[in-house]
Amino acid sequence: MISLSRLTRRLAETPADFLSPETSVPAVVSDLLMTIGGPGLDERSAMPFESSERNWLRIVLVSCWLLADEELIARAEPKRVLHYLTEVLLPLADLVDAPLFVSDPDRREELARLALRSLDLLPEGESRAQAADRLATVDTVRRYEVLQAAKAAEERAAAVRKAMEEQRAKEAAARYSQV
Amino acid sequence: MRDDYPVPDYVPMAATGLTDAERWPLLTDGGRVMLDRLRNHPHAPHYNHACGDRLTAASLGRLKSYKDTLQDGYHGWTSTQEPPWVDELIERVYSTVPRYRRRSRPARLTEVPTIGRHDLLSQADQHVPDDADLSDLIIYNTSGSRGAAARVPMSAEFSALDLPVIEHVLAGFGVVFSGGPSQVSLVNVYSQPVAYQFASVMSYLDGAGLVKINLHPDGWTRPEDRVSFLDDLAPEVYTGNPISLSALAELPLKHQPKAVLSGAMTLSDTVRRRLAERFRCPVVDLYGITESGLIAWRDHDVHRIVPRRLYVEILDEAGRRCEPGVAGEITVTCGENPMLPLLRYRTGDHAALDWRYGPVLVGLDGRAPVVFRGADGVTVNSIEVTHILSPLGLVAWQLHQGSDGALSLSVHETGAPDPDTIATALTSLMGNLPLKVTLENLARDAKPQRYTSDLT
Repeated sequence: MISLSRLTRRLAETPADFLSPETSVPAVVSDLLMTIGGPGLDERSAMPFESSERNWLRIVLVSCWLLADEELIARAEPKRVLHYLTEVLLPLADLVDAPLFVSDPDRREELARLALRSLDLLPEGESRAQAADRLATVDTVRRYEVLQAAKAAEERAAAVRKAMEEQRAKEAAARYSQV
Repeated sequence: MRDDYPVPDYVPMAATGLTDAERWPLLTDGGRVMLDRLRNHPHAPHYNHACGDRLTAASLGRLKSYKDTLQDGYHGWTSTQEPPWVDELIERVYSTVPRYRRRSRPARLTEVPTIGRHDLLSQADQHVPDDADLSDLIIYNTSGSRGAAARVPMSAEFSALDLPVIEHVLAGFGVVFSGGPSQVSLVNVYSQPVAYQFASVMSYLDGAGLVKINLHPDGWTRPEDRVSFLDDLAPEVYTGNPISLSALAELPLKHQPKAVLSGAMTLSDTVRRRLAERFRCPVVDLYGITESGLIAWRDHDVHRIVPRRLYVEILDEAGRRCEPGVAGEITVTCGENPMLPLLRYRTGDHAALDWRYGPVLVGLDGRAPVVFRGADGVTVNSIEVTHILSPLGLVAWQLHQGSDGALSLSVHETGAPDPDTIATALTSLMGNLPLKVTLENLARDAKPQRYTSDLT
């Protein structure tokens, strides 16, 4: 059980270096991985962190600061951390500017909850179901997917209504009985 | 054609939108000759619409194999067992139909909520599956005999499903279509102030002719053209409804068809016998709904359910299944209309389910026509009233004629136009009779009796 409020407070206090474009992301990630007992990045595994996805790289840095929390370090596994930094954060980078994970309370909660879920840990005082439920309320990617689905549904409904109004639909086809 | 008839859809040729090549993708030279003959016939009615079968080789192939499926006569369900395809249909509907998509999928059909006609058709666009090919979509406007007129989406192939089903039903009476491009196989007969009239050919019957006609004299150059036209066409089968077929029987026709099919409203035994004597052939009552196609046909004292991929439940008012033999609402589950798959669709019609070498409907209580008396004593059938009130967008209404001839019309208040508009429409049909129009809440009555008369 980890205190969520401690994690969000930690995010609010993220040092400016962790948002700076000057900071070497592979070096920070490598340090973090070694701190939690894993091997650091080698030339190959460092490659993704040399990408040109600047917003993602900044979120990775903020997240490394978050994961450097003492209790998290004690429980994190390198494989899960890497999965979090890449698979979980990449889609988020398309939707949220990195500084918001420091300045905006909802985004801080989102990042902290995503980290806990990725590390298979629960926030203090919450069951697994409660944690999933509360994450859903701040989950940007999920909200985006829901909005996208709603948009696709709206577009389809409009296409159906248009097809129903078209002259070729109204001419119809012959019917052979009366019902 | 009357200019003052308030049904804008019937402006001649206003609803056409295709070329002949699109109407009949499989048109043969023989079929073209038949089509020209029907269109240019010296006694032809005033065609006001054009309509083909729109069947491709692939859909024709599926319809032909459907005929074999029907011949097997296998329903796949009993009083205690649902058909095997139901689970798959529930899955498909809950994953692709917008109306259902956000709901969790019930484990069993009995847990699927039933849906009524108004509920379904007032938002038909929400029932067209996401993966349905919209280029196949056609719209059929219902007459509104069982509620407000509505637009039903379907595909041309689904519309043509009637043909193998009709073949299957007629085979039971020893009647077989000859078909072919030198034969008119079907004439679909209406008798109302205005209706679509068109000439067509059917690739399913190898280019045989099909004509839809309206017996009302206004639709013809001379009233006697009706007899000259029909006797010359010598159709194999007439289809119609009890009112139009009765009007057909009044004409001095010489041609004797192989069979007469009646639908759309209840065919009484008296009318059936009269028609059978007049045309000296089997007269078969069909029961179906536009949304799902033909459901059953009359076989002696019951309606035998067609062995389609169609499941019928009989439900009581609370939505519970009735025991065999107990009457309730006919409720249909059917995925054959690709534009409108139905899960537990309440038809508004009533019957009991029983087993006589397969499922049958007993005591089918369809839509009985009522005859009103207009000004100057002319008879007006309830379907004509339906026809004139439906375009006004009324949700429901009840028309009663008192013993003194006075009319009282109660209209469901939601969405109703002002009473003067309604009165004008009804007076255009009934003439100047005492008439009282009131707006009320008719939703209290689950199945309001639409037409009643003290005169009949």
